[in-house]
Amino acid sequence: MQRRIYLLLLLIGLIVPQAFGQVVLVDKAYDYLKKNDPQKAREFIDIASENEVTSKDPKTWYLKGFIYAELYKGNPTQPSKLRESALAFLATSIQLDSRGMYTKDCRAVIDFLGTTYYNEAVDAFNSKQYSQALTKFKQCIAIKADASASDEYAEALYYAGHTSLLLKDVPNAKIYLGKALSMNYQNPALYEELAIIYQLEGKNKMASQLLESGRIKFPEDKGLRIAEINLLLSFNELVKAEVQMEKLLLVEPKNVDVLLVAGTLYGKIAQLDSIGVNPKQSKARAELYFNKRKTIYQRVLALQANNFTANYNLGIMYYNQAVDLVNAQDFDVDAIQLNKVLEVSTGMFKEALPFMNKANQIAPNDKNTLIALEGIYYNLNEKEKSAQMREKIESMN
Amino acid sequence: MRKVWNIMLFIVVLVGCTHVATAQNNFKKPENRVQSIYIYNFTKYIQWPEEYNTGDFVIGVLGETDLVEELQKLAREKKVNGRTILIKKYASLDNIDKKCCILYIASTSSNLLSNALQKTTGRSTLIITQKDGLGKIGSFINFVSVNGKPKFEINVSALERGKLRCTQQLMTIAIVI
Repeated sequence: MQRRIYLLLLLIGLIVPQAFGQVVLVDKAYDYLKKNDPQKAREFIDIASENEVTSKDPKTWYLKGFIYAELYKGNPTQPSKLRESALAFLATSIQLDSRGMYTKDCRAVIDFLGTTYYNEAVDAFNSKQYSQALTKFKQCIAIKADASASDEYAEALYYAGHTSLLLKDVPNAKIYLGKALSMNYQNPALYEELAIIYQLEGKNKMASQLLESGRIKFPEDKGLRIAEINLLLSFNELVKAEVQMEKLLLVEPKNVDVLLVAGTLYGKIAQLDSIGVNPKQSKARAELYFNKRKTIYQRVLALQANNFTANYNLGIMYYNQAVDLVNAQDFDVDAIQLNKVLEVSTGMFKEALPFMNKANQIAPNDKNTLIALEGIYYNLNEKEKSAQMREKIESMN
Repeated sequence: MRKVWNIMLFIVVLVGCTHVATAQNNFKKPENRVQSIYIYNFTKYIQWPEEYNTGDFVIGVLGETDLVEELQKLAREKKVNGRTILIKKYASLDNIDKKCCILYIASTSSNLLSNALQKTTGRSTLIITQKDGLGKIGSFINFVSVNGKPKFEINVSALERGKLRCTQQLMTIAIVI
């Protein structure tokens, strides 16, 4: 054991001059870094990191990672491998740092670089470049995985999920949103979106439970309240949905999203009533909800005259009501009575036309709108215009 | 560090929160339904000569039209004074039955009106058409549209020539020519 110590001392003695030279290089690099000259610092640290002795020192790799991170910082938009290299050097330092002297500092730099990915993801997201945003969020997540307790990590997970949803990648969205939830990320939209995914998968109970826990945490959140109503709608629990909706409308009377959901709810109630068991009662209720729905869409249009959904739905409501009215007449209807019915139905087709024309103006390539216009023109005996709509529809196929 | 406050939160429309209804499938159905109801009404409000009151009540159709489906439905569900309604599709004017009570000429075959009138001269075949102006040139009943509303013209002289009698009640809602 003693002999070994002597040998070691000897070895140290032998290598000191050479090792000393390399340590000087590391110190020189450090000096240049302090003088805010990372380019010069890089020259020295690159040599030091190739030396047999200093290349085993975690300090060398920490400093090298730091310098490369500084170089990247100096010109972040320049395409280069500086950031990736910095991350690799810092990882090497952590690997070599058995005594844990530099690990914490390395992680701080890694965290900083992770944040740069995050910021780029945010920029891409805000520019609606969702694929690019998702890639950057994923890079941020991979980098920050070791510091997974950070808020930013949880936020990146959430936005990776959210962006995946926008890209219609539901399975990936579910993974990221689930992870964000397990990180206890506090955002009502997380509960809402994950619940929607469960709902899409037919896991209504899970969706319901998740929304419930979200509603406990964020009792006033509009999105969660809408999601809850949508869930009730999907269960056909229309009475409960209507109660929730009336409450929501009181606090959000000018919220277009809320109004549109209300329109959907009233439409569904009217639709189910129309196939109900008591036709007399159903007819009256259908009329009531037709009017409620009409009022709701008129409120939307008062707020947003160019809202496609409200224009389209108002048009289609009148159109379908006119068609239903005529088709409901049986052969025994007297000609005089039929004449009166046609007065009403023609009025409805005419009511439908301006809304549907507006919808067509807003979204000229919307096929449903063109189909509705074809029908409205046909029934108003404007056969040429009806044929023009048919031509457009066929040209889209 | 830049914060994410400026990230726009999209409400993802995955389930029907802004549900969009679609137009009724068969947009021609209302027109066909209206015309078939009117045609059935004509069988009640118009009187044919005695010799047309036996056997099946023949409604002939000349030309291609979706109305045939509605008329066939009418034939399945209803009778004319206890007589079975028979819907016949004619490929040409030569095939028209002598005791065809009603002949509907599809709008796509409107050019055949003159020949049809010639062919049925001396008969009591109620010719029905669907094109602007045909009422004036001899069609007995012509479906038209006035300000978008379905109406029908009645050519009184044509009815008289065909020895067909129309009640005053029907005249009140018709455009009389």
